[in-house]
Amino acid sequence: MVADRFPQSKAEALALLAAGGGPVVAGGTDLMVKRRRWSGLAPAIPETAVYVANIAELSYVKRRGSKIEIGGATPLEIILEHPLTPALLRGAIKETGSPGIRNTATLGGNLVNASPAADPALALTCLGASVRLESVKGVREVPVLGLSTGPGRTILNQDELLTAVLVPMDDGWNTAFVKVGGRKADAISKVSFASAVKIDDGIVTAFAVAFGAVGPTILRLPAIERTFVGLSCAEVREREKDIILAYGDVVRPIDDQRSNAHYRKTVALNLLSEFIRSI
Amino acid sequence: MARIEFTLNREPVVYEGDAARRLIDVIRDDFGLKGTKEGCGEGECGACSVLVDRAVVPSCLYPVANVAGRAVVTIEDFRNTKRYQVLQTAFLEEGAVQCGFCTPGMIIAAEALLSKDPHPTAEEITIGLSGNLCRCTGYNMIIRAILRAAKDGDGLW
Ligand SMILES: Cc1cc2nc3c(=O)[nH]c(=O)nc-3n(C[C@@H](O)[C@@H](O)[C@H](O)COP(=O)(O)OP(=O)(O)OC[C@H]3O[C@@H](n4cnc5c(N)ncnc54)[C@H](O)[C@@H]3O)c2cc1C
Ligand code: FES
Ligand code: FES
Repeated sequence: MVADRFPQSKAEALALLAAGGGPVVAGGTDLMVKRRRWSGLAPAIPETAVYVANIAELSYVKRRGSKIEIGGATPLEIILEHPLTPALLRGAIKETGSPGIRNTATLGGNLVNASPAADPALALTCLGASVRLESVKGVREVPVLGLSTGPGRTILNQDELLTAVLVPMDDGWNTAFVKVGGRKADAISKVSFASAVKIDDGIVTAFAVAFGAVGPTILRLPAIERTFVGLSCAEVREREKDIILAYGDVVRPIDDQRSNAHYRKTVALNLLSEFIRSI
Repeated sequence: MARIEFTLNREPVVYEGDAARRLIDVIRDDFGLKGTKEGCGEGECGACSVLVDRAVVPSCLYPVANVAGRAVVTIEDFRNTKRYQVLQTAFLEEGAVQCGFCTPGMIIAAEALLSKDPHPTAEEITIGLSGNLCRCTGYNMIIRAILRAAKDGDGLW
C-alpha cells in the first residue's frame, strides 16, 4: 500500500484523487498548522492524503509561448530565483514568509489555500494568470481571478489537482507590489496591493490593480479597470477622486483582531491613490 | 502506516508510521536528536530549522512524508564540520549567543545562506535569517557574527 500513498507522477496522484483520496498535501505550510494537534500527536491529516511535493513533474518554471508556466508544486524559493519569473510575482514572493517557508511552500498551495491575504496569489490575480486543473476526467484552464470563492474555499472539485500556473510575461509593464503589515515574515499581510499598467506613448493600454486582505477573496474589478484603457496618463490622474469613490464602494474589509476594517480600507485606498498619482 | 526512506545526517534511515507526523517529532522522539528545538510550532521562529537537501526548512510544519528520498541534516551532524566551528567561534566572539535557544536554528539558517551565497551583505543576512527569531540578543550581533564567519571561513562555503 505504501507506494500507493506516495505518488511519483501526476498520473498516479490523479488516480489516487479519483479513487477518493485526499486532501492534497503539498508543502504543508498551511495544512500542518491548520490541522495541528497537541504536541507529540501527528496533525489530523488522514491516511488517504495525497502528497505531491515530491512529484518532480509538478515542479518547474518554463516558457510556454507568450507565457511563463510554473508547475503546481514548485516551491516559492525556486520561483523567486528563476530568471523567467515575472517581476511582479517575484516581488510578491520576496515578501512571502522567510527563506524556510519559501523553500517549503508551493505556488499551487498558496492558490488553493485561498487566503484573501496571500501574496503570490495577489500578484497572479493582478497579472491575469490562469491555472490548469486536472483530474482523470480531463483538464480545464481557469483564471486565478475567480478560483477562490471565499476564505479557504475554491472551485476545485475533490478529484482535481492544480497542476500548473500560466502567467503572462510582464516585460514592458510598470508593476508594483506593496504590503503593509507588521513584522516582515508575518504569516498574514494586513493589506496588500498589486498594480500593473502598460503605457504606450502616454496612453494607458492596459491597467490592472488587485487588493489583498480587504474582503473574503482577493479583489480585482476588471469592469472598472476597462474604463481607464485608452486614456492618457494625465486623464487617469485627473480622475483620482472618482476612482477612489468607485473602489471605495467595493473595498469592504472583514473586521478581525489584526486590524480593524476601517483602517484596512483607508490603507487600501491610500495605496490606490498613490498608484494613480504615479501613473 | 507509511514507510519512508531518507537519509538523516548522512545515514540511510527508514521511518515507519503516520506520514503526516511533523519532521521535528520524528527527529527528536524517534531518532533522539534533541538539538533541534521547538519554539512556536507554527513556522514563525525558526528554532526548529533543519536542512533538507541543503535548504533550510522549519521542521515543525514539515510532514515527514515530504523527506522521502531526501537528505536531512540536523545540528548534530553539522556540528562535526569545519564550517560549524567557524560559525560557532564567530557567534561566541560577537556575543550572538545568550540563552542559546535560537542558536541551533540560527546556525542552520546561516549555513543554508552561506552555501548559497558565501559573501552576503548585512542586508542579505537579514533576509536570510528573517525566519529566525531571537528573544535575547540584538540581531546586529548575529549579523556581525555571520559577516565574520564569511570572512574567517573564506573558501569553506
Ligand atoms: C510562518 C508562515 C509565514 C507565512 N507567510 C506568508 C506570507 O507572507 N504571504 C503568503 O501569501 N503566505 C504566507 N504563508 C502561507 C504560505 O506558506 C502558504 O499559503 C503556502 O504557499 C501554501 O503552500 P503549501 O505547499 O505549503 O500548501 P499546503 O499547506 O500543502 O496546502 C494548502 C492547501 O492547498 C491544497 N493544495 C496544495 N497544493 C495543491 C494542488 N497542487 N492542487 C490542489 N490542491 C492543493 C491543500 O489541500 C490545502 O488545502 C505563511 C505561512 C507560514 C507558516
Ligand atoms: S518551532 Fe518551527 S518555526 Fe517555530
Ligand atoms: S539567544 Fe536566547 S533566543 Fe536567541
